[in-house]
Amino acid sequence: MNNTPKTTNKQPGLWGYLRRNRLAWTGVVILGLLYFCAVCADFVSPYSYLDENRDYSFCPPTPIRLVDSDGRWQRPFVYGMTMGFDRDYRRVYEIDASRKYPLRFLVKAEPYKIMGLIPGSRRLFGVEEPGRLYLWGADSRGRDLFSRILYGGRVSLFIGLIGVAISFTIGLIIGGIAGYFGGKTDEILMRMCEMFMMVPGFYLLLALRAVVPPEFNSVQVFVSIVVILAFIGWAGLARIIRGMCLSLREREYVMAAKAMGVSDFQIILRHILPHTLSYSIVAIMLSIPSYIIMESALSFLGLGIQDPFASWGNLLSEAMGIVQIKFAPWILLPGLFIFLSVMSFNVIGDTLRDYLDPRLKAENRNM
Amino acid sequence: MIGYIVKRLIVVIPLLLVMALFTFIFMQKTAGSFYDSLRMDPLISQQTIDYYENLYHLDRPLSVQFLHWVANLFRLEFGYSFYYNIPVIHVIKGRLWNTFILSLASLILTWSVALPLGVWAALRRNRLIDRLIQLLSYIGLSTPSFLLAILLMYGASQTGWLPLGGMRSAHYEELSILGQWWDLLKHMAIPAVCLSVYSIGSLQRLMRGNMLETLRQQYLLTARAKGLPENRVIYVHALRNAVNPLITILGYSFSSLLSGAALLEIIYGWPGLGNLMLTAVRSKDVYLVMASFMMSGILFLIGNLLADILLAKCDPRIRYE
Amino acid sequence: MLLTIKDLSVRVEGGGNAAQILTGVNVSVQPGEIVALVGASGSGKTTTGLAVMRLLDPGLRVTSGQIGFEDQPDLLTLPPAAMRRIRGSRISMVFQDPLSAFNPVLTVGYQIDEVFKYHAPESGQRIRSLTEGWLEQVGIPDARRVYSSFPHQLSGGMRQRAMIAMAMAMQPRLIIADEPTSNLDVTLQARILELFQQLRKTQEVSILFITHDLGIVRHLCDRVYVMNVGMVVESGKSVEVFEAPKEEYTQKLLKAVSV
Repeated sequence: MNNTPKTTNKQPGLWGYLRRNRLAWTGVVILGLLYFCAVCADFVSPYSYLDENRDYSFCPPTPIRLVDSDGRWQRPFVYGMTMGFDRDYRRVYEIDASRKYPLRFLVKAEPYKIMGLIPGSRRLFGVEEPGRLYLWGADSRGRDLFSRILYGGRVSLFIGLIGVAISFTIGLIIGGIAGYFGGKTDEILMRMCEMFMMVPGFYLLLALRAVVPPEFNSVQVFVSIVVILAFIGWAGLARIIRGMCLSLREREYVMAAKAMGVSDFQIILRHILPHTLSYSIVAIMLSIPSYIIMESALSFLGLGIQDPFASWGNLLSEAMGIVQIKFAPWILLPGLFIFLSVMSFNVIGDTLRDYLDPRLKAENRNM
Repeated sequence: MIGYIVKRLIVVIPLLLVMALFTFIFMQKTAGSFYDSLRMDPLISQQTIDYYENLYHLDRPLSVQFLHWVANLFRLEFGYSFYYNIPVIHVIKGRLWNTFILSLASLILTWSVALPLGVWAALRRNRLIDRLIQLLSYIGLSTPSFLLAILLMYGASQTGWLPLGGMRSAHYEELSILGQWWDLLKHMAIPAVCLSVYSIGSLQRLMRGNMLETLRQQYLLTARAKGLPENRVIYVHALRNAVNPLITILGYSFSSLLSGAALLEIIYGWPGLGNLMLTAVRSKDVYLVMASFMMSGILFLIGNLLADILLAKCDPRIRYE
Repeated sequence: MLLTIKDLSVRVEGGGNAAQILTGVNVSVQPGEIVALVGASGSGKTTTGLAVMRLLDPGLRVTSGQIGFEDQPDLLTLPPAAMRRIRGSRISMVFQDPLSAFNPVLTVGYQIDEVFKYHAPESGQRIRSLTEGWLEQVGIPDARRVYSSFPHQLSGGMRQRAMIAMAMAMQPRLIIADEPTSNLDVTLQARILELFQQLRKTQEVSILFITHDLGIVRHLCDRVYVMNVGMVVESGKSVEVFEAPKEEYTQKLLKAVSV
């Protein structure tokens, strides 16, 4: 049974379309970079997310310099920082020009395993102890924010992907069944969907979170959060898929297949689902942002990923003490990353939809 | 029209029942050990514990317990808040109103900004102002509300223009009526704005899309052929049609409105339902958690119903089905 | 002469060779005449009608021509406000699909009232009765009910009559009817055509009847212009053209329909 040609006309055009749209292409680049850094955080970041040093609490960013205090050119280096207190007992950091720490590449560090699989022991760059390299400043415990943000990306970005994967699977099954069989099945399933969509998400999130036993360790908490988010999110995707299936099952090739006695399951699998692919991708792209934001919100409130693990949300919670922002504005940076990743997904999703829409209309007309 | 409303109600009531069921099952998971730990708490009188054990018939089979639970709901008996040491109903009452006015303020703000922007963008399609508005919408859609809240609160702390939290100033009682309203407005400003940014972005895009769609309709040509001035063609004929689908969505947007409000209440310290729910979850105040959860569903129901009535009024095709 | 379209040419803005929609079209209508513009789809007949009303698509441009109407030498050069005063009061239009031509969220009565509100606001309180009067004139029995009805609540035939009432409201000198019966079944068609004839007689209104249906033309219209790919290929008294078509295209057209 041949599938009707579907994607051969579209694929070459898609990348070109994305590239031409500057905003969308920027989004693709940004996401690519963020995901890469998230995966290789162990390698790219100078410190592990656990590496703390209370002597450097809220240390401002240490600029990498090329010219020393005597005006001479040097290889890139960083000055040492000494902590002192001002009249109001606030921490103040002064540059100690007597201590120079050159920037080193492929620094040897504690062994790690990327994604628990690939072992390694070098980091892209760093400075030798006791020097500290704080590209974007330090948090309250003297942990390097740059490193923590990269590690945080793992949680924030992958919760989005995993959560959506689960939601989408559920939505695909339920939406597919509802859309294909129609009638009573459809009605019942859609009523269920409506119910899920109607409950205010945040309240459901809190309620479900309260059910999670307190004895869970971090990984289990992570998994339960993902599950909870997926539990809330599947309904929207299911409705979209159901809509598509409903219109697709009227197509001639479906009827032909039925007439030839192909089983319902086969029909759904081979004829209907492939055609929902492109629009599904758009729907997925546009759903991921809400997962990222919900996880961030949860972690921000202290109900999600806990210290010492990093997620952009819980990194931002340091900024809750509003006063801190004045003296350590860099703690807002994780927010920028949330914003960038969400915006990238939104822009790409929208651009894809614009790309597909006129095609979709043309396709419908030809049928 | 009554028939339409009834039909909508039939959809939502099962939702509430399901929520009640879920709530109840959850309680079963924690209630057992919950009462044990209560007994050990010296602040809670044995009398209170006995009263509630009796009320909820904890010794009877589950199905009976559930019926009692639902029956109690109708009597506005929501259980006891052990964290606040008073019956839940007293804790929740004030909070509901606060969440409601915050949500309402956000709704008004959203619609009064997004609609004109959407219309404007549609009329100036692809020109500079349209592109600018689209960009701003993207940014609005992508900015997490809590991030914006922190930034605005920081700004407020530096400039002193707006209060940094809560719903009322310390000297609220001493203010005149006008002063009290102004005080309320100042407190509402930051959370309402943060709450609205996302929905303004999304509603604006919808309005623009609908408007563009409507501008292609045949009846606009008819209106022009009648010699009507362009203003009337657009603002009476086109706009009235473009807005209708948005009102349909209004009902569903209540869900995310309440959600978003909850988060902002917590950050800003606005004494609303969401804030309450968080406290309840953190202190494991079972009945309070469940009542808050149910309340959010009821708030949604009311909002949805109002939106449905509004839609029926605006779209004659529905009214006369 | 009531309406004189002289040498009208319209093209698509910025298009290539295929962009010429109308070329040198000449059409005239006498007071009290029913004139037909006949042609297949794409022949430019609708565009001609819209050009008279100056309601062309924004992407189209009039490159040459003059449209004289009543005492106005050229409608095309009128300031927009003056043109608006003419639309709906001196010249009005009837469209093909009354369901999409009416605004679905406003009552039929309201939409007809609008014509009075903008062209004869001094009528004030009498507007409603004027509207209902016209609804009766076009053969709608229950004018009151139809006045307060929404377009989707009426039958196809009633809707079209209501649209004609709307067009006649200010007693225009010319009605441009763009395929007004194409969406109706045969019996309704006949009724509407009857209505047009009646209106011509009682109101002395001229009708520019745009259609692809030759059957109607023969029966209803005094003169006919045959159009093809944006040009008038033949014109003359309806009887003459049907009996003895001069052009090949016209002959083909007639043969195809075997009128």
